[in-house]
Amino acid sequence: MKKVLIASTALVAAGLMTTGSASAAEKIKLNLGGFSKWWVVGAWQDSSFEAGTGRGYANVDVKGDNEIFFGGDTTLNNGMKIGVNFELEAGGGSETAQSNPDVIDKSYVFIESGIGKVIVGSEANGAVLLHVMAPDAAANWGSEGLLISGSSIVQPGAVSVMKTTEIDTDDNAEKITYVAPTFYGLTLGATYIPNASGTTSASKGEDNSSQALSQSVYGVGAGYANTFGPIGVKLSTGFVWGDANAAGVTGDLQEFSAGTQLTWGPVTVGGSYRQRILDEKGGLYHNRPSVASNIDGYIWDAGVMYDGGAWQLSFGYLNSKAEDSVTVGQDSLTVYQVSGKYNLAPGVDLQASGGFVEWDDESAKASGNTGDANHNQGWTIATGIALTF
Amino acid sequence: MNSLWARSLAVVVLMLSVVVLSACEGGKAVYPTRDRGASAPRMGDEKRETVFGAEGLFGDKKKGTGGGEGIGVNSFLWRASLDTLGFMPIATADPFGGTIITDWYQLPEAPNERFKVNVFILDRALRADGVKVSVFKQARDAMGQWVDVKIEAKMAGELENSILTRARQLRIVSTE
Repeated sequence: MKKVLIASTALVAAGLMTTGSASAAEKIKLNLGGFSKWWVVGAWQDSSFEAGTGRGYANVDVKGDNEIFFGGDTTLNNGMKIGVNFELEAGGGSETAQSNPDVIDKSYVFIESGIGKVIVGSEANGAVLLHVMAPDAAANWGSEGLLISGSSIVQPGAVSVMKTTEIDTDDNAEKITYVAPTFYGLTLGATYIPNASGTTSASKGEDNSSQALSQSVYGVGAGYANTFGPIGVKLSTGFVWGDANAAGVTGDLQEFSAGTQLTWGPVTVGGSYRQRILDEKGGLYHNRPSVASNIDGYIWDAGVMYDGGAWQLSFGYLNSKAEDSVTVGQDSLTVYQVSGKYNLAPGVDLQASGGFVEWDDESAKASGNTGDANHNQGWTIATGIALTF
Repeated sequence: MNSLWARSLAVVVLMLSVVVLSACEGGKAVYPTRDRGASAPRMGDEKRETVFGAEGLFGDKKKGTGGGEGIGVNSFLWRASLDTLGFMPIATADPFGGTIITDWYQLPEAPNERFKVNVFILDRALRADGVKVSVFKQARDAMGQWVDVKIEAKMAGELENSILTRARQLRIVSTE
C-alpha cells in the first residue's frame, strides 16, 4: 500500500518534469475564502444531570463556527496545477477555537493533473474526502454539528463515542493522500498517515476515544456519483487500518465506513454507517473477555431532505455506541435533528437546527447521589445566519 | 491483518491502477473537497456559492470551471503575437479561440503590394508548435486590381519564430 502511494506520488511528481518547460504561466495569487456561522442556541439540559454535576446551565447561548481559508494555485505550462491551502479557525464556539482561537488546523499543498491529485499535509484522509452520509439542510451534521458535538446539550465527561460516520480518527494528522481522477462517476482515494498522533487529536473534541498512539495508518476510500434516469445516486465506502498502541492496548485498529444518498426530484434520502474494531494482539485487555476493549464501536445515521429551491428542510437520526473504559458496557449518543435553511442571496443563508440529544455512559448511576452526571438529555433549538465567502 | 482484508486491499489497489491507466480516456480530472458539515463531497467542478461569486474574494474568476471563461490560450503566446503584429492593423482578435486576423497592410515603400496575416494559437502551453501563422500577399496587376501572389514559404515560419522569441522574452521577464 505504501509502495503504491509512493509510486503514484512519484508518478505525479515525475509529470512535473515532462513535456518540456514546466514553468508556471502565472505566479501564485492569494485567494481568500471561508465561512461564518453564528447561532443563537436554546438548550434545556436534564435536571438530573445538572444536579449530578452540581452545575446549572444557561438555557440560551451564542455559538459560532468561523474559518478563513488562504489559498492559491497556479497552472504550469504543461497543464499541471500546484497549490496550497490553509484553514484558520476564526473564533466561535468550537472547543478548538476557544482554547486556541487562531489555530490553523489544516495546511497542505497539492499537485493536480490528469492522472490524479496528490495532497501532502494536514487534510482529511481519502476515505473522509469521498464519504457520503445522511443529508442535513443546515450543513450542521458530523462531529462539528451543534447538536452532535455537545455544544448545546452538554456531553457528560464520561461519555466517549464516535460523532460522525466519517473515519476521522486521524483528524488533522499530517499525511499523503492520492485521489484518482473521476472515472464514469467513480473516484478512489488512498492515504498514508505515518503517525496519527502527530497532532493532538484528542484535544480537538473530535472522536476523543482513548486511543493515543496509532502508527503507520493506511486508508482507502471510494466514492461514486451518477444519475440513472430521474434518480441521483451517491455511494461511498472507506477502510482505514493501522497499529493502535495506546497505554495497555496493542493491536490492529480497523475502521470501515459506507454511505449512500439517493435523490429523486426534490427529495434526498441518505444514510451511513461506520464501525471501529480493535483487533488486540496483547496488552492490558488481551485474553480478558470479561473486560471490554476500549475502542470498539459503531455509529450510523439516516436522514431525509426536501429541497424546495431557495429553502431546504431535513430530518436526521444518528446513533452511536462505543466501549470506552474498563467497565463492560457501551456509551451511547442518540440525536434526532430537524434542520432548515433559507437562501437569501448567493452565499447568505438563514439556518435553523433543533431536536433531541441523549448522552449515556455505561456506568450505573452513583448511589447516594441526587443526580446522574453520566447521563444527559434534552431538547435544543438554534437559529442562525451563515455567510460563505 | 487477515486474508480478507488483504484480498479486498488487493482489489482496491487493482481498481486504482485501472482507473489511473484509463484516466486518459473516460476519466475526468475533478477531485473532491470536504466542506465543514457537508454530507457529501464537493467535486472540483462544483463551485462554492459565495457572497463574492463562485471563486470567492480575490478569486481568479478567469480560472472558473474551465468552461469557456477567461483567455483560452497561452497568455505569453497571445501577448507575443499581438506585440509582433503590432505594426499592422488588426481586424479581429479573439483570445478565447486564439485567433488574430489582421487587415490588409501596405508598406509605404511598396504601395503596390499588401499583406494580411492570420495567427492561430493552438495551445494553453507555451510550446513551439503552439502557434501557427499564415501570410497572404497581393499585388496590383496591370489594371490596378489586387491579385493574389505566392509568398515565400519561410516567411510564415520566420513570423512564428519571432512570436516565439517574443513569448520567451515575456516569460523570462515575468519570472524575474
